[in-house]
Amino acid sequence: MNIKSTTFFAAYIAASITLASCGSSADSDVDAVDTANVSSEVKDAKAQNVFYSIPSPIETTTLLKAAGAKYNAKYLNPIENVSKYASVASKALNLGVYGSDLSFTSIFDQTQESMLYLRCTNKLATGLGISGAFDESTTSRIEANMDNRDSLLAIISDSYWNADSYLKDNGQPGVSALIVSGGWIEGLYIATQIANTTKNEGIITRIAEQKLSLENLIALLDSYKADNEGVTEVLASMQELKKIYDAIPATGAETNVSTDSVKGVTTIGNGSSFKLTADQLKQITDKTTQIRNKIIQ
Amino acid sequence: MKQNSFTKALVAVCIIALPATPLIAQCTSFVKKKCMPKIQPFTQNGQVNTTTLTAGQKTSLNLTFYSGQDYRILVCAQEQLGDVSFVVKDMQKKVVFDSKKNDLPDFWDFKVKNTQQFTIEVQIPDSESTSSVLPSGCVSIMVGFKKG
Repeated sequence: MNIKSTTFFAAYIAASITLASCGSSADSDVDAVDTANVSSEVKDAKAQNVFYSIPSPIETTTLLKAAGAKYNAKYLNPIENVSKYASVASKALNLGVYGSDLSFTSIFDQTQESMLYLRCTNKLATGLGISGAFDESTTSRIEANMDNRDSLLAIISDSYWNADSYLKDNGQPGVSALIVSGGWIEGLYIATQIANTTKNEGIITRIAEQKLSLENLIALLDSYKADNEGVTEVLASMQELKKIYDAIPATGAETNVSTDSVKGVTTIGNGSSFKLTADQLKQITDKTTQIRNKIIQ
Repeated sequence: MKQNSFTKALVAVCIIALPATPLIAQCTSFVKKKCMPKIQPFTQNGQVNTTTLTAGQKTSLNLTFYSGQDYRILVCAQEQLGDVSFVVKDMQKKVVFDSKKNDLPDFWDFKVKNTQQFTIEVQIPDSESTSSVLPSGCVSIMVGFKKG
């Protein structure tokens, strides 16, 4: 080895140690990233990032409650099931399911049930090695805020964010996509059960509108199908559900934007709307129940 | 002489190796400290849409927005990226909001009469520097909601 290559090798080792130590300190000062620069060649090599996002279970449950849904514990995954889930995919999907159930119990002020479902999310999050989400600290914060629903929902949302963040930071975005999928299908399952019992038009409309979120969910799962075997399986189930949703036409006019200058509120008018037939509702209910029961079994 | 070569080699390795470092993990800290507070009083939707971008690059987010809710779209970027802009497009690609035409705010509050699918496109400005080294930093697209 000549002097030049020895120098380069030594520099490489020194740089590697420096960079590795920086990389391990994810929670170090924010300014640590401020000095990051890359060469112009790297810019062209980087692909454009496209994200697909799904409404959180808290948002979905809030919409259901606003549409007139009532609380019924029989729609939720029994807490006894939590010990059944052994594989990573099963734990992730059911963390999503129980997270959705936790959102449901919390929004309907079911304090005791909320604590039970929180324990289920805690157990599954621990089983997946996720730290900083649905943990003892979350439990303490929730216990302290049981009488303040807004704080409670903010804490649950933070837990979802922390879980998503932890998994993505640690190279497991597919597991995160499974949690999102479990939460979404549980929300849809609850909505269909309520709709079939009450025939509530508002809730039926919300079910129809899931056509849009389902497309985003499929795109999300598709981008991580190489990350986890469970993703491929869930993706196939969601594509079966999409076939039913594809038959629902979108109607509507071109969007327009108006701003109330007094209130300072901008509203987007028109756009698409969706309507389900009774037969389509039944098909969606049956397929959703089938997918959800397979997940929680 | 030897020390000079060592320094040059170290700088070269740093430039080559930096993009491979786990910057996304470091972005988490940035988002928690600098972005999360700006989403309030809305409730963030629990999903992480954060990446590292370089001058001239784009990122986008697709999401459904439901009638009956108020929303905040927040585009949070590190300062070294300059004047980051964003547009919101409907399903027909029609622009319903352009931050460049509104003094470049980092957030936009709105509501929808009917449930809509929007795409939020974020653009990092080109670098004005003649240097071959371009600024790079964290960018996060956050969405918050509250009952309308």
